[in-house]
Amino acid sequence: MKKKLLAMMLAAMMLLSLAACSKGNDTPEQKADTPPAGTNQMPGETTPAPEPGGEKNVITYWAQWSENETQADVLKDAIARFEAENQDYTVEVNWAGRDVRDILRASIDSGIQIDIVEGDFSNITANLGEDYLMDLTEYIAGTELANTITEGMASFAKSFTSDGNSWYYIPEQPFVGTLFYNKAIFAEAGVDKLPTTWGEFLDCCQKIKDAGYDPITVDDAYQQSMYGHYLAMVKGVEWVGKLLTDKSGALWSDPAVLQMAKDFADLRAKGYFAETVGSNVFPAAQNGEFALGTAAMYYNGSWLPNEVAEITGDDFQWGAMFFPAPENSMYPYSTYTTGCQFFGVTKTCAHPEAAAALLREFLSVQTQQDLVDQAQCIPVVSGVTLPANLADVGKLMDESTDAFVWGGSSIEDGEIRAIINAAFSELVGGTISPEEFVSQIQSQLNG
Amino acid sequence: MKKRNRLFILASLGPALLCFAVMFAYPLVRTILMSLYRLPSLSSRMTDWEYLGLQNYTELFKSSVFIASLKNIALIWLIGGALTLSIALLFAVILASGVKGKRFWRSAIYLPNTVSAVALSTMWLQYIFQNKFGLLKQLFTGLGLESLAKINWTSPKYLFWAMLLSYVFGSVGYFMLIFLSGIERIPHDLYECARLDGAGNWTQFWRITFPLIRDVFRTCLTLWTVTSVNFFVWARMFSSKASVVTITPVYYLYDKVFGTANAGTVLNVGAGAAVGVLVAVIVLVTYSVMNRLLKEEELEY
Repeated sequence: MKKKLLAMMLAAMMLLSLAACSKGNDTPEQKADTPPAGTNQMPGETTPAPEPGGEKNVITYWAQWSENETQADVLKDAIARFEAENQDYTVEVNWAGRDVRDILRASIDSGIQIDIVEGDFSNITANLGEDYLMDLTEYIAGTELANTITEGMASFAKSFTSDGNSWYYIPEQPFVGTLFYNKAIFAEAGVDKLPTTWGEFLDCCQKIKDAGYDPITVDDAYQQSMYGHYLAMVKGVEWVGKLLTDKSGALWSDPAVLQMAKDFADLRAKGYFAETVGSNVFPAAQNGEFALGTAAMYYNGSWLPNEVAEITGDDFQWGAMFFPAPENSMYPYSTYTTGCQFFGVTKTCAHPEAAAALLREFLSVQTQQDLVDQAQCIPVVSGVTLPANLADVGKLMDESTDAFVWGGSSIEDGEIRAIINAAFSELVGGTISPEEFVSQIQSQLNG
Repeated sequence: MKKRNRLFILASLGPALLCFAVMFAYPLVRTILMSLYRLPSLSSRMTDWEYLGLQNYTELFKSSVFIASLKNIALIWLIGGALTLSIALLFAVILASGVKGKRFWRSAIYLPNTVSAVALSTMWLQYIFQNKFGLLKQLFTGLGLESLAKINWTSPKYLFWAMLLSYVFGSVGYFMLIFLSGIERIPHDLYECARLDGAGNWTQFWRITFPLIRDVFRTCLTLWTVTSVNFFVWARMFSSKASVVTITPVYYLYDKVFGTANAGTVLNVGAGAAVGVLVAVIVLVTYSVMNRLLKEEELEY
């Protein structure tokens, strides 16, 4: 009997412990709010401050950086400044890394309190959007940030909103997608004028090849950005979006696709692509060819100098140029692709003023300058000096007349991409012809 | 008294049943349900789901990419399985035969299993298969085998096989240990008797070792089926972006549910759930077929 009683008690304890565990996921209690430093008190929003020595209000920020990244170090300093100025608040950070994009929506839906979210513009706008994020216009308009943020990035962020004029998304780190090049190789090869047309680009490649270098290389991860850029120049972003979601394969019969395939196959046939280009799994070309100085050009984003800094060292002569305009280009050669990391504040945030104040600290000239100096990012505000290895990117942004979205499309179908990626590797690897490239994709799309 | 017993049984089983219901039954039922609907995201409320019937399944079998993923997984299971299990069994037999330095060799062969799949696949991709200065390139050049040295192991033509080879390398040690523990259970007397009767190593293996570790072999085959059907990390590492060459059902599922591209990928969570259900069905069917082919027998020795 005693044994039975003991067993019953043990079973009851297990049940209770399970019940206790389930309480851990409850939404944290909302605490009293006080307006953060630097904000005007909104009428009717006054809430009592926590008692001195009492619990602080918590701002939860899910970062797209890992804790060991340089960006995280800079943001930690910014958080410390925010907390020093706003002693009623404390910031809890989940240094979740890039894959945070996959769990943000599900986490918010499951009741986890997240105040500030962060991620690539396409993920923040498509996965969360205005359904989940708060309009921060009242906390941004009229502040210093509204004056310092670059006009291009302000309109880029607002372009994703339903009215085209609200601050649902706060741009954080813009990036530029274009051709990076090694100035030392260009000088050695005697390239004194940057190519603007496809024909000039071929001449430039020939000079570099004659000098004993591989003119251009690419990894599997960035092929799609390069051919997407080419196609968007010729047919426009909207058309590329249709192409990348067209499962019938009909759009692949467009002459522009064959023209693109022929131009890239030509680069291979003439020996302008590195020999290994059809088999480079990221970061083989980036690290093993471009950064080591065997290839002169590499299509990438403006984060590149930071990513390969340990390989290139300080002597690498960084150059960035516009992607040459293909034949029949709708856009002038002075066009680059762009994108941006976005912040957002969720609708469940109990302290939007404080969250906005923290974002303003993240976007202050000081934080942005630190990000530029330490992580070699492109700033989103004016008044920041770019480091030498990004000077050309800054120049390119100043000289540009047009820009469109990174990769040439803001939408795509993963299945279609899986088919194109394999076919494009074969095309630039020289194992299939441009015509076979088109027919292979069409036949796979049609099952 | 009977009622009391029932209550006691219920109270004792309660926590386990609750855990099963919450952690297995609920996700299973929800996944099956999701596979019959179109839903905007993984965490959408059921009121936002749109009923499609079996459309997600029929669409899957019309997709050449999904069919390619099934073919890839079949090759991984069949060829990868044959290589992994036969090499593991060979190593286990050699180690059990009293080879010198057994502990060292056992640890050395198992070592790749202690390294994360991400690190291991990076080593294979960026060093062994590297096209300019990789191990294979240097080895074949050194041996004067120029045609082999010229192979671009990570080009679409060879990428799948390169991935499979490295996966086999990473898996052999695990199965070797399981085989080894099975072989070491077999009494030495049996081998001594066989040797006295004039049986050679080959005969001893086929007449004694293999029949007596058949249950271990069955376990290994089941484990191999489960791990290869859930093949994901290696496929993702060998193609930075999904490619028909390396895609597997779970990678396809991930792409459908979360998306992996920079641009706003068209997601289809219902189709992802349908892939999950199909993967589970594949495992169950394979398991029951294996059970029929390799019937369990009680062996006493």
